[in-house]
Amino acid sequence: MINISKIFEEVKVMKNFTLNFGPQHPAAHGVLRLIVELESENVVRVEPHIGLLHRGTEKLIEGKTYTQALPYFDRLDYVSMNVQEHAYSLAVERLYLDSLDIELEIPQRAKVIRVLFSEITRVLNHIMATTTHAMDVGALTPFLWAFEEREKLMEFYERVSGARMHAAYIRPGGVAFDLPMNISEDIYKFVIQYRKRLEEIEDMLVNNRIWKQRLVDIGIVSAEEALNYGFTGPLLRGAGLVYDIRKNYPYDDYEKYDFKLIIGEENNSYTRFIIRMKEMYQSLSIIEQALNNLRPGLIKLEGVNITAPDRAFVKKDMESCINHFKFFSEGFIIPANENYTIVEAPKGEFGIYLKANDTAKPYRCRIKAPGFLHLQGLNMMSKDHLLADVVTLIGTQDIVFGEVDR
Amino acid sequence: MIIRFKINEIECEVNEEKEEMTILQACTANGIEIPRFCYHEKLTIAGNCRMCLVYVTNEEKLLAACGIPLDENFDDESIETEIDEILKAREGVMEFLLINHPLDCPICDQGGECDLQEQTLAYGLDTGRFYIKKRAVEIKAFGRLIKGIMTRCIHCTRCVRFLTEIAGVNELGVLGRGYNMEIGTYKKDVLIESELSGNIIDLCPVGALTSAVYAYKGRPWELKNVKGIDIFDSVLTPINYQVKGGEIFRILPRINDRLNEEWITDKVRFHYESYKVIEKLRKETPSYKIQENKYMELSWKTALKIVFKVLLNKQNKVDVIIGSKINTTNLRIYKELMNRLGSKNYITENGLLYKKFNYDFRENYLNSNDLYTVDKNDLVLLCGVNLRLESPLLNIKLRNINFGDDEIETVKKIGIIGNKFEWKDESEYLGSTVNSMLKLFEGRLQYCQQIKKSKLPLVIIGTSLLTRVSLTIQEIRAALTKVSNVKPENVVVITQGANFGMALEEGVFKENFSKGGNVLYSIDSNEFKISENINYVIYQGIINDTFENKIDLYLPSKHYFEDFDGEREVYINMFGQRSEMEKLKISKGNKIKENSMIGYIQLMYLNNKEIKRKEKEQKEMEIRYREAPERKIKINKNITINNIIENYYMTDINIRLSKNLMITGQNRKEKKIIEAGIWKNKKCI
Repeated sequence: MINISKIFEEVKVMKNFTLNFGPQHPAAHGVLRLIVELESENVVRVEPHIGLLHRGTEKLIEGKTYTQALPYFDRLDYVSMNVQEHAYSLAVERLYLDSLDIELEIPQRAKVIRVLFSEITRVLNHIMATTTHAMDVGALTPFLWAFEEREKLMEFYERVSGARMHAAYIRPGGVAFDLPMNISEDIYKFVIQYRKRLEEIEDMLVNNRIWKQRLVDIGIVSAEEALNYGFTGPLLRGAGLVYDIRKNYPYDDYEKYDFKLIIGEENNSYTRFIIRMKEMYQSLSIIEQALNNLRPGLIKLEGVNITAPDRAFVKKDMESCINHFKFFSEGFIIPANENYTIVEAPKGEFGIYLKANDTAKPYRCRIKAPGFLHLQGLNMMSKDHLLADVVTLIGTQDIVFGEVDR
Repeated sequence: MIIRFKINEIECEVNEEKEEMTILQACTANGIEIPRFCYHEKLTIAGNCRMCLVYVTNEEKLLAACGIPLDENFDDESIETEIDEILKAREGVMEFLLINHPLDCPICDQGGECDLQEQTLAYGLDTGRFYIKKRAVEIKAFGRLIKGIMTRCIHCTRCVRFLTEIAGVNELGVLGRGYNMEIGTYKKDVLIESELSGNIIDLCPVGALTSAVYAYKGRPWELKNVKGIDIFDSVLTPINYQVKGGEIFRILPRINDRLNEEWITDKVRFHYESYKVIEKLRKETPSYKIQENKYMELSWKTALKIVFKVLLNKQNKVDVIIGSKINTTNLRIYKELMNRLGSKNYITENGLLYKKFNYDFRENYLNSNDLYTVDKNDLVLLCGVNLRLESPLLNIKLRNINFGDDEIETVKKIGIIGNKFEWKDESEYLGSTVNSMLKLFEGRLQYCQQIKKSKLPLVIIGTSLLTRVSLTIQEIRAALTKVSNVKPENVVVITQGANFGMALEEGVFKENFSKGGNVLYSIDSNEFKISENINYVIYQGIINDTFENKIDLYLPSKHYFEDFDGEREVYINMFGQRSEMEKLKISKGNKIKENSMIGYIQLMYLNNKEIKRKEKEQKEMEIRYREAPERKIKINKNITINNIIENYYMTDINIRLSKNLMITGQNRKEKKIIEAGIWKNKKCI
């Protein structure tokens, strides 16, 4: 016989309200699936589910030669393209030149062009990060003003390499093509007028009461927590730590450029927003210095196996014909060696671990993306915040799914 | 005497009496790479490319390592291979070779496996300095099988040396000197006629000599290797099929020091075109003949019912003839099937030629001597065999015979009984009838004295003799050992057919086969004429062109390289050696079944229960020489010993259906020179 009284004496257990902040959401940058456990409007736990954009990049690279693997790096963080190519080119060059004990450096002009385009990429990324963050939070107009500037920058990409976004331009050995005519003037004009645009956007947001209320006191991360979770980039500099790979482990003559690092005191979202806006000003000054440093010269190493011979010589010259054929069919062979190369990507520290055995294809390529580690800290950052703050936090961490999922 | 020297400051030594080495061979034995173009291990030394230069102490100039022997004069010297002078010399030699070389890499078939490309990358410059006009040479016509774009030639002379030394024909030569040097045939319209001519494609380090059948079809890095066997003669040399996407692109040799070294015949190299033709021509379902040229498609069930209706009919006498490519498991299955039906009327198509064969003793069809140590023999007697037709790769080995240095006595070291052919000046023709053979046994020929003088004579006996006379090899061996100083292991029998030895091991043979029988059940065999009393033909195989539409029931089955379970299959050649091959899938129809599956289903039908597949492992075969029992036989003395093979290029359907080989074969037989239109204009194909 069923005991009816027992049923009515059951104590009701309160479970948290679980919300699926689904993969298709205008505020989730890309395909992010978050399982949010709420207690009324307060967040108890946030659990990100990733892997919806996994394309098997690392495995595919194992089956391709070093030259053929370059375009994969454009597509990892698809808003800052040239920076990842820069990292890969540095990795391959270091592997090759170290293992064969060659004391060569890439030509001066190639280094300047690389720095120029890395800083253009930094501006591209910070525009995307700050204004889409603003749009998620609610301020819709800076997005539209700033993306017009992004179009102007992508026009520079296209003039130099042929593609607006995924330009396989920075290659092992130097750069793919030389700068076309009049591009330095146009970049200079852009830089001048962009400072005014930045001021307009700052006017809109920096001293804005609503903006400050939405961003200050959200996502405070102490220095110790940031180091424990592996944060890099503005997330680390906001906590007061002076760490930038361009200053600490400089590459491609970055030590010759004069720029300042922006360090914050309290590491809340507002600080990070200000850091990104100010970093754009510093990038513009580096761009101007790079334009002044341009001198005529070679744009890639010649006579080494890692660069293909010039197209004009391939049709005149027997040795160039043979080298061209062997470069594009078999590739160049790197002796057994391994290397870890880091670069200051706009989002943080981007690293590539490359391992070569004595063949023309890499044995293993492991990609360390900054967004992967930042996303792991989302749970920690969003404790005791409201649901609407989760959106702010995703924006301030600057997550792009191409590099998290690879 | 032991010679001590240093290579790159590593101490090495060589024993001069055991092996004579040059510097290059000593370096490769110690793991040091020296680049070369003209040196090849199996050919004589030329020394004209100058790429193998090394530095020996106290010599004024750099020496060509391929030609300097390590003998007494060389003791205590030190060799350097990596100093600056040598690196500069290699760059210089490469630069000179590339001055007149055309920029053909994108269109050249050898790209990707070209010695010149690899050595330029490793030892040459990165850009050239020569911008004046290059010299060019006309395209030479070498036949339908070989393309000769001679502008690319770097004059290493490997092809010339191969054809004169190994193939034995003087078809190519070097003409002119210096800037005007060319390699070719001296007269116009003379083609390369040797049956081993395809090997110069492998030897040429650049793209001057390439395969015309494989031209423009693929690049070497896309192709995968599948092991295979040369099934057209009974030596069973190992080959590699190069395959992409289920289609054979070309065939290359696998290196086997004992059998073929690195060479394969033209027949095997170019026959793969036939597989595409066969896929289009063959029927893919079991079919039954209604009228002339009209066939009805059946399902396998009805087809097998018809087969058993015919086989179990007591008024029918069934002849089973098994093809020469079928492997041992299938031979066993079909033998068991016919045994259950109560008849022993089975034979392989190569066994049809013999009237009697004593297959109880293995020494009658297998040999323990595979002609590897033929340089110790100093006399050869060829009875009823023309090795050039029956097995060209063994023919090459006869050139290694110890011909000796006798200048006073003109000793002829090769005696020939049978069809008359010449072996330069060293052969003596002894007769063409069985009479001469008997005179030899009785010691009545003058040549027998030569045999007595020689230390280790070798006797090679072929199918043409054994099919005319019903003697067994045992008896021939016994006769020869009594009469002269021939040892039993030096009497070699050359059989034909890839599975002849394997079939005799299983007991698939019947004496006096050609009489009787009104039903023919042919399992993939084409090479015989149907006798007149046959009124019903069942053909289980791939395709047939000799039966002239007499096939009443056709059962489709698979090629020999896809006809087995598992990954590998082993065939055994006439020397008792194993050759392995891997599975290669070509047949695409659903209803094409393996021979073994058809056989097992037929056995199940008879037995009404499932049969487990039994397979024995193929082990090494022991061959012992016994004394022959005495018997009396009648021999007709006046039979002439003619060649069994009429046309070397018509022995198998796979060759008859490859267009390029067929036309080449006809030309080579009739010595007609060029097929109209193609090579007269010397256009590139």
